[in-house]
Amino acid sequence: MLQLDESELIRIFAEVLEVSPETLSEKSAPDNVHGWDSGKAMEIVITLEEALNLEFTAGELDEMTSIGATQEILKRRGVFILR
Amino acid sequence: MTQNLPADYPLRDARSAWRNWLRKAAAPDLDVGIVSSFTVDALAPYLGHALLSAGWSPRIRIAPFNQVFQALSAPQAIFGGNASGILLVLPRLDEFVAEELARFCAGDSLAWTQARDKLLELASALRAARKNWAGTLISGTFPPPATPEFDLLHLDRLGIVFFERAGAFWQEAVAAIDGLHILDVGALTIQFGFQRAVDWRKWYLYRQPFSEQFLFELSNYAARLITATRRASGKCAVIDCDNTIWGGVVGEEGLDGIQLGDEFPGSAYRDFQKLLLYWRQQGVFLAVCSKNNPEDVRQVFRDHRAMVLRESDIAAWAVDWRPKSEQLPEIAKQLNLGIDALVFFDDSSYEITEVQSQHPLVRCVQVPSTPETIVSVAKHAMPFDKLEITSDDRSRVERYAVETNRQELQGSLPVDEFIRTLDLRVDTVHASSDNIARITQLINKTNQFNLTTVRLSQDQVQAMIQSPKFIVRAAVVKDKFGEYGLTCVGILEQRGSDWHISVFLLSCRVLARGVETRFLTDLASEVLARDGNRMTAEFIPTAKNAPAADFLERHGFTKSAPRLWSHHAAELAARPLLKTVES
Repeated sequence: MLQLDESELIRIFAEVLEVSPETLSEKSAPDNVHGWDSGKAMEIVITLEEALNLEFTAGELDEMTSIGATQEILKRRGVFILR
Repeated sequence: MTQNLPADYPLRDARSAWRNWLRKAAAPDLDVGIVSSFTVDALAPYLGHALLSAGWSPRIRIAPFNQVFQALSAPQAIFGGNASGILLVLPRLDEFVAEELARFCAGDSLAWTQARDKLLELASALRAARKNWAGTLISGTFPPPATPEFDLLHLDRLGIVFFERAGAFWQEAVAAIDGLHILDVGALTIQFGFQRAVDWRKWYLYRQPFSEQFLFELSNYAARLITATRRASGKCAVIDCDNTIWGGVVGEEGLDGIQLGDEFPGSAYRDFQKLLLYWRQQGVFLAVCSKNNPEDVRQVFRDHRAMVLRESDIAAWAVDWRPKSEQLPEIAKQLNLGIDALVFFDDSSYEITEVQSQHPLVRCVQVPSTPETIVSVAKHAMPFDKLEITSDDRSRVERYAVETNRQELQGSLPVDEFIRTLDLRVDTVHASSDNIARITQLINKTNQFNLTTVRLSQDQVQAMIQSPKFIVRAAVVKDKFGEYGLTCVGILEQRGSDWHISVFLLSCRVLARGVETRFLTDLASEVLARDGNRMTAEFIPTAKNAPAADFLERHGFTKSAPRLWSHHAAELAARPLLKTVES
């Protein structure tokens, strides 16, 4: 089973969004994080795909509207998130 | 600059390298604008990274998508007024002729004519941009369409017929535009694979059709072309022998023990030799740099039946037991090249590191230990990339043999007398579309006899040719031993009533025989013909241009300001030939 530390997941978001990890939470979303545009959204997805070696569908991408929502989709795809 | 094995996540590393670079907010030395018919934002990090890797400090701007015509009507707007940028135009058939393509695929053969008219309009817009804007213009060819109706493999073949027609038509239309460079996106798609090139998720969500991997490859390819428009390529392949051009160690295994021939692994080494020979035909010198007994190596070149390269193909030899960092400068000196013109191929990471530590400017390519990948690694390193191979390039290696004869004669005569026996001819010619590629090439690669070492793009040279404020001349040199081709370039710029020498250079192959004096005399005559009087010049010293250091003084220029020299055109034009040549 694929595993991912929650802190590592946050770190990926933080690196692409160029913000400090402490400022991010499950509720973080394009609406409340400056600079989270469609380009950044795509880059986050690509980075996750590279790290986990899986490929999301367009429908899944569409649902990734926040960090929390992204975690849900990861879980659905069998990724175990370690807290 | 070493070619390394790919890192684990080359794409992620490229993106984060670009982010870090942007954060530094360093001053750019290369301004790239991208105009595309589709969303292309995701290209920027990869292109930025590829240009960074090539040694540039790039700025990348992306015009709003699918506004190709608007952007081409005023290219400078993309660059905030900067006229020396690089404009990369990436069109797709999907946006320009989707409707015609759909009708053609449905059996309406007349749709092609209408599509052709639309493509012609696009070509006209490119031609107008070329005319109105002095920067570098690059246009892509078309990738296969990704429309619902189009199928490359449809059994009625209508889709592929349309695609091939459009491709051929476009190649011809853009090739007719002077000074436009072509980025063959179509060819890249073939190399990469169309199915892998498209990412439908990104298309439906973001109108961005291509996969990250494809954008990464497209970026490397574009960076290669952009770099070739601005920078000189390598001039000499310096090759190791054992486990590089043959398998095994000749000193231990002997002539019959090395691997070279029709069967693997010998066939892979033989193919690498074929690639080297091909480069030689393109004007690249070949030099051997090997720690070996000289006689062992020579014997392979002379007597091994499967050798593709022969002794006569090698312009310089360094076969002994000294460190390679000592062998390389000797090769450069022998061929009259700067050390940075050498590209070093060796299988040993020790040798590569040793050379790199002493000569950071030498490009190094590590030959892999898996023979089957040698040719693709060497090709991928693209050390000898050139936009155009001129006829001058093709005859360079032959001319070198002539030069060897000349040096033998020179060795036996005093210098003045030697020059008189040469029957030297210097023919000054106007710059034109016939020789502008060679002129630009000389401007960008001449290091030694170069008064100012000013580098210019072909587009900038073209703009000067058309301006009455500039005199752009070149000279073709020959003597009784052979022709040296176009080897001198001079550009004069009108500054008030003076004419300033902004470029004056000679290829190293015509140094030390009075050529510069004759060429200067001809330029002075041009100034007189335009009612000019005073000529001014500046010597800008670099690490390499010592041969030009005393040029102004030798020809009677005097200092008129701290860095500015001047002389009267009338006196220069009247100067008898060869009078000032010193030994």
